[in-house]
Amino acid sequence: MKSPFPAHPLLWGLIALLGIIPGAYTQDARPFPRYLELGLGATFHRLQDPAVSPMPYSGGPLGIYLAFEKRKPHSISRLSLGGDLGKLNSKNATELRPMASTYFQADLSYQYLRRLTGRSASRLIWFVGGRYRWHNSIRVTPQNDTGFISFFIANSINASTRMETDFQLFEREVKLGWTGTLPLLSHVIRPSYLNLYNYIDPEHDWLNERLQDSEWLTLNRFPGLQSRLELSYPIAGENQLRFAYEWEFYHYDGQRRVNAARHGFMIGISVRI
Amino acid sequence: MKYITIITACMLLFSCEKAFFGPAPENSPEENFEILWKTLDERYAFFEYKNVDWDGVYQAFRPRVKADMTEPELWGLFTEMLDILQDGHVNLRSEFDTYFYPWYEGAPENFDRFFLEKNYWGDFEITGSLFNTIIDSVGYIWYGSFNAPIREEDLDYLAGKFAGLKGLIIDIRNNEGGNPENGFRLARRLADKRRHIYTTIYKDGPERGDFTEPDEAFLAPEGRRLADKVVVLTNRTTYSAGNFFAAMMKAFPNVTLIGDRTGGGGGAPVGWELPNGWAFNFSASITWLPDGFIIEHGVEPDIRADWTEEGRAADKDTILEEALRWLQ
Repeated sequence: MKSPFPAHPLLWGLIALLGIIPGAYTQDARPFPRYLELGLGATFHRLQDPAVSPMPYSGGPLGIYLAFEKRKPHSISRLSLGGDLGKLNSKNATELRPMASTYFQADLSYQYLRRLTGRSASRLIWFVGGRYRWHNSIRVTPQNDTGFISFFIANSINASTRMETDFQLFEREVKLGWTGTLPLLSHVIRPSYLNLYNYIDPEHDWLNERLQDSEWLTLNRFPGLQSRLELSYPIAGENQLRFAYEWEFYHYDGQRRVNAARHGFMIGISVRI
Repeated sequence: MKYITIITACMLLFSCEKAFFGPAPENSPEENFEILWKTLDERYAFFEYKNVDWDGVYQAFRPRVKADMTEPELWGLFTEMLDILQDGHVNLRSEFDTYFYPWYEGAPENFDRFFLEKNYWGDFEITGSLFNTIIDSVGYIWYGSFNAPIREEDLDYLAGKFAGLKGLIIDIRNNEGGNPENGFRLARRLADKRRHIYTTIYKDGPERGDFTEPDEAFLAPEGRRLADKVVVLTNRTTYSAGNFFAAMMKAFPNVTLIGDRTGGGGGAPVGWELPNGWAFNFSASITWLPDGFIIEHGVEPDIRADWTEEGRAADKDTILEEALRWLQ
């Protein structure tokens, strides 16, 4: 698949922004470190959505994310925007029977974690907190004719936990962190039973139709987990390289059940600002 | 060691998603049949209206599905089964064939574009997708497919061109449909005021009676009007979005339908695919006019007219002639 990124002006703009941040190469003048992070990577998606196909679809879209992280002695806050773009298809797909969807995912999230001093023994530090996440997943499946767009939009309030530890690697002190997140309460928007909007009504209200097909769900009907294992390796100027393995999964137990899983291998540069 | 334990624990966690994913359907003739039959069973809208015993269809066809069937054999069986629904919006698509029910079969043809071009259109223009001319002080538009976009600029131009004429003929014969939005755009230029055009229910569950609440659709005038008095020409090949256009025109007293009954296609088509990659469509809604008439089998014209042998021999389109008489 041809990568959409080389010609994307926004991406190059973000890279340029990181390069010109004046504080990026200065030593710490602020008491609490703040980081701007840009990451790219490969992902693997597996999707079971009856609005798309009776078959599960899988594929490897490209992933990108931008994050702002602020660390204080007893808390971490992180605002991030991430997106995946690529193709998913069925294992039965052939050149003449594409069985494919173009897949878009965009996630906006804000996470706040407090350090658990009682459990932060020696080198293993624990945090707990919450996360708000706006997850948008859109699948464009041309062979489904009028039902060519399927989507899964979830606004979730999540419980999060994180553990961190430091160790020496190549004579540098690196940080290994794992963050796990569970959706406690979510508002989910799905297509209608037919995956069709009321296009034969000239005055149809698309947004209202979508909201009518939405519902509030708790963890038992929308179980899922987001996991991020990351290794932060210090480079010049208190900046960091970040290698992350992201895994997430959800099972939507509503009308037309959805199972979705994502694995992402991301490499990012985290610039101290 | 501690780090290895942490990483191992995380890696173990990653594989638990598999427990939630159900097994994928097999790509076998039996499974493809089951999915096609069941999808229609749960989502097709017209079983009761067409008095089709779909369970009986299963009893008749399921025993004929064999594990060692070839693809052409399976295709033949599927299309034979789908034929029972007699629905042009039910189709099956593969790289080697496309099935659809020929809804126009047996009806008079009632249209010949090159005949019209030779005998009526004269020095016609093609404004966007709209072939147009003036015949005997009457504006004329032939719109061949609702897939072809209609732009507001095109309609503004035509409103100017046709201003002051006796009326307008919109010819949608042989228009097999497309995007209804193009029909709305055209219809808004013909409407006299906001009117109730039709009512629709959609399937919203697997049981036969699972439908949404009725949605009453209205259409209001917008933009510069094309004409006060309008005739819409239809034939049996007018289908789908063409059928909906004819249906909405019935609501407006300044519009008269002349020609043959439209071919139908009154259910919104929905698409899906089978495990073997064949795609299929089916009708998933029911629409009726304000007087309760269901438009699945077409919309009746206000004035029935057909082509005649005599007319053709005299280079006359008898349907168009009727429209011109009506507008004089």
